[in-house]
Amino acid sequence: MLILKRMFPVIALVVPLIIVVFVIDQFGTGNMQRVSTEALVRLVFAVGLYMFVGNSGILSFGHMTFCAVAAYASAWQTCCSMMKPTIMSGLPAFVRDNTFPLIPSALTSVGLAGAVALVSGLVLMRLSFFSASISTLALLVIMNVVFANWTTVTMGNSTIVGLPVYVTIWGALAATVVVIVLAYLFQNSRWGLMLRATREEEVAAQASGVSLYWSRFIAFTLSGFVAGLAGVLFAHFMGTVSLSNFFLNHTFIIVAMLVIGGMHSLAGVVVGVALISAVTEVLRQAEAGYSIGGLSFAVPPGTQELVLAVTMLLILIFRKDGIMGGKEFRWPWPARSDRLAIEERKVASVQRSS
Amino acid sequence: MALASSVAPAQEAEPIKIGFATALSGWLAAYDQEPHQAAILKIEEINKAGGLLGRKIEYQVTDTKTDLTLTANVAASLIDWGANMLVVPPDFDYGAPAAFMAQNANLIAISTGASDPKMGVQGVGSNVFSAHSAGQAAGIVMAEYAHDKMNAKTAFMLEDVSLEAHKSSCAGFVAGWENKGGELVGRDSFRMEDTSIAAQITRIKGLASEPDIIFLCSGLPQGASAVRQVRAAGIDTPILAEAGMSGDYWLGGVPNLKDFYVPTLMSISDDPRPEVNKFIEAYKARWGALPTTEFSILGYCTIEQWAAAVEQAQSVETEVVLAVMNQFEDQPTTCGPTSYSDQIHIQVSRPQLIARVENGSFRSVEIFRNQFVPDLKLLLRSSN
Repeated sequence: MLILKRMFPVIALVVPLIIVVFVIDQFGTGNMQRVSTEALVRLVFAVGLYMFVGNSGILSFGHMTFCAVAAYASAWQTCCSMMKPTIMSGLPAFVRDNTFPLIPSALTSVGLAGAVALVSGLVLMRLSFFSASISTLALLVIMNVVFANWTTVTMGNSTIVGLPVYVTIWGALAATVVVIVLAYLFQNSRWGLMLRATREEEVAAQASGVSLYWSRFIAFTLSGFVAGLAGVLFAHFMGTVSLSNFFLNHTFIIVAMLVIGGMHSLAGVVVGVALISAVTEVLRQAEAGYSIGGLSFAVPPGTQELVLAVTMLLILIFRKDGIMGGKEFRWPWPARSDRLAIEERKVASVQRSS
Repeated sequence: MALASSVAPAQEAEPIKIGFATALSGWLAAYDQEPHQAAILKIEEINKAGGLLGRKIEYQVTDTKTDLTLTANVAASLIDWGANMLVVPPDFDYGAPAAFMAQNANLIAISTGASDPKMGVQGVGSNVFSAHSAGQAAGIVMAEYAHDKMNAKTAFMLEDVSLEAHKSSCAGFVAGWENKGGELVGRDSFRMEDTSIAAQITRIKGLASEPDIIFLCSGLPQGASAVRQVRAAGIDTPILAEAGMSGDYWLGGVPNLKDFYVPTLMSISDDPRPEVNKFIEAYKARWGALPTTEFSILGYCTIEQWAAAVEQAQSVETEVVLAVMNQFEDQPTTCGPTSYSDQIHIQVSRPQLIARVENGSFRSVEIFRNQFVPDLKLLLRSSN
């Protein structure tokens, strides 16, 4: 019971996800399954991003870097054995001339992404709040320029086609559940709590003996690994890897999802990604046109982007902490003592604000 | 869908289904919308003439929004719908995700206008074709044209390295030019983001002697800006460009442009070929306006060649149709003779219409066919 209660915020996220996936798997169209799989992969990335952003309060624009590194690393190992020696001639001979099994190559790819996060984190996390945030954008630009021009290894701006497609909706769900649990355990761990303390009040946290550098560095590295996992999943969901998938567009869409859901809680991330993914897809279908009882109607093209932008504005104006307001889903039946505690907290907050 | 077709009367043959994963919005729409409309025109013509193998052609089109992930999803749902073949966007990077889906579902996919030969056997899979000419072929045609018809001996090459397509044209030009024994006196590159190419122009002006021609592989709008800057710097050398620079709409930006040549698929105003003019008339009648880009005709030929293969194979089964298409040798289409092999799924020596700018618009000069045929190594640019 205690475990159930302690893990309730996770269960409240995971169980609905499983139910939704089950329903889609049973009754959904092929398109719905693909869209949901894509959304789950996006969720893995968003949770990875949240592990750093949500806990540290430092917005990162650079996590697509790790996603790209892992996706390319997996492509190098598993893609197109026939074409690889010609189109990616710059790879080291043992990678160029061999094709590696899927699971080991997924693991090494995630490892490489984590290693890149670790090395860049060593430097970037020394920077203060806003500088760290902008420096992650610099990291993304560096990756993009290097990959775009390193044509013998990355095929430049061209698309790498022919990765084995093995990510199903259930595979994506399993990965999502694992990272949600991981993220929850991390945010309640000693390091997670220390990092959250720095988010709320840097000076006070430092005065209490928390190292800004190490707490941020650990979260950054860990989230780099998870972003890498998302990269591998994405590559093997699409079967293609293209640099333009790992740049500003996708970064901003995911940041928008975090903002809308509320980036200070795990529940906010899940709700944000699920909601925006669903709304986007419904509107896309509406743009393509629905037909109901022989009548077909369509909304004008561009509605999807417009609705997304307006939603974000409304959220920013009226609920600046996002839909979830930085809260997790709580155990709905608090014990007496808990209830008292909540009352006390309410009273305290009223006093503070008055 | 399966249910709907099984309750249809048995004597009425099941329709043949063509799925269009088409960019109707986003930047690619400018290149995809008209070929798509031309393809629909061809489908309607076939249906009017009694269908294909006596069966009507049905089509479904879904917008890819020029988004890579969405492109793959769109292709997947068209396959679920029961498409017999897919028409995919006219660009390797944005078409490949859809073509790869078709390949995995063992369907034929034809990209209306990808000029990258990777849109084919080696890059995506053995079921994937492009109806267009390889980017390299555009470079070769212009190299041979400059040498044979313009008597050029020396060339300077200005390469836009922001897109693979442009790099391919330049690679083709170099190969074709060297094959003819021309001298490449210099080359330089620029990127789409570069608003000024002053440094590159300085290099052209610094050459010991003025080159006979400048070959420019670039697209719009950056190519137009480059031409304008070159001419503004007082360089009047003839410029030969690739197909990406055709279309009259940008010429207003470079007033009094002269000696500017492009290889094109067709001319909308003065094409010497009657079948092309017939297509343009039919397009205008169906869509109420003339096509604005030459690429439109590729959509028409996409359906035309697939229908011809189906007709010959007497089947829509992928293996049979594929075998026929791989045997195409100068198969007549409205776009010109079309050839494929089991290795090369793009045109490498289709005659192209050379057009020259005169009084603010492109005028047809002549049809020109390249002799030098690029090999796979050049097509895949594996030497780079």
